[in-house]
Amino acid sequence: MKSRTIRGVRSDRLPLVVSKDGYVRLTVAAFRAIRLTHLLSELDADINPPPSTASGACLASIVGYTEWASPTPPALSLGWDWRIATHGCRVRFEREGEVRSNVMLVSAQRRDLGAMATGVLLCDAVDMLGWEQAVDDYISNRYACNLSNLTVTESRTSL
Amino acid sequence: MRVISGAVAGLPEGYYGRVAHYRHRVFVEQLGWRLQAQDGAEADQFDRADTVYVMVEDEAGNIAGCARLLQTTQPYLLAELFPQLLNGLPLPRDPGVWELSRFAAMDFNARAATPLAQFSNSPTAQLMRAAVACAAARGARRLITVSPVGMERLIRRLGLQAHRAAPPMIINGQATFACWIEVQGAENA
Repeated sequence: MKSRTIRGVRSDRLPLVVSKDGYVRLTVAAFRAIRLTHLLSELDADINPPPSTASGACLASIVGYTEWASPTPPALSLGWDWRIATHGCRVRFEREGEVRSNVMLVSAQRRDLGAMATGVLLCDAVDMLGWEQAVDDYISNRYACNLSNLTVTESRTSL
Repeated sequence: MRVISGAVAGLPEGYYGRVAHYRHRVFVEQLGWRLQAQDGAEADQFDRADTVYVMVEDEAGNIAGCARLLQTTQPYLLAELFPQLLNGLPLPRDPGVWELSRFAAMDFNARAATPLAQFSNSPTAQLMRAAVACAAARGARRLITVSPVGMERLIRRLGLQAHRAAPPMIINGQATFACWIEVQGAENA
């Protein structure tokens, strides 16, 4: 996406501000230039029970969420769900569903791309991020001492 | 399920006491939150004459969920206790912005949920829809909440438009954040 000059400043270099609606607005180019760092990750209860196998055994699934942020003021915040998927003998982390954020991506003319288009672009960005190792390390450290009797409580529906 | 809402003066006689006991049972006894409590009732400085309560009841008349709505033109939880969750944004003081807090849906009298239970008909879903409708009827365009991060998934799963204000922070050992919920246009969600 080409940058454009607004009042003598390239649109991808405008200072970040929080809009009144709570979004931080920036272009795709400006977003791509910002480094996101891992904040925290947690395990979730298994909300959607996996299908049973023909022999009656149940495929266990490990799911959770992760939170990432930028070091910028104001901070960009991105979070998404993940699951540990098995493909034959291979096990890997996969993003599950949409990315939740306080980001609204805008065009070079500073027009909102909209929540849906922003969501798609953020999903693409997350899939290119290389987040899996950080989540793996964090989860392993956090739960390592409890693995022998691991229990995961269901998400609380309270605030 | 039946929805009951209103300020204390508009609730059935003695009902507010039941709400305070329900909140104590949920937040203090079940979730272990360190909150002001007395004689098995939970209440704080934001439980005032102008505070609006929204409850859902099961068929037997037991409270199965509650929520609290505060105008941001009056003191509210986020502004007084957690302004750091707004990412530097000036605190809303707007008649069109209300705060949703003390949201909980725990049906102590329900049998265990089955895999066939529909989330869209759950007390949680009904309570959230009722809270949004109640706020809309009082002129709210948007809601702001302080909540555990899991709430954002729940809100969006209901088809409501919502987004976080900033990265979560660990408060009392829990990842907590502020979340905006759009009220306008949410009636059909």
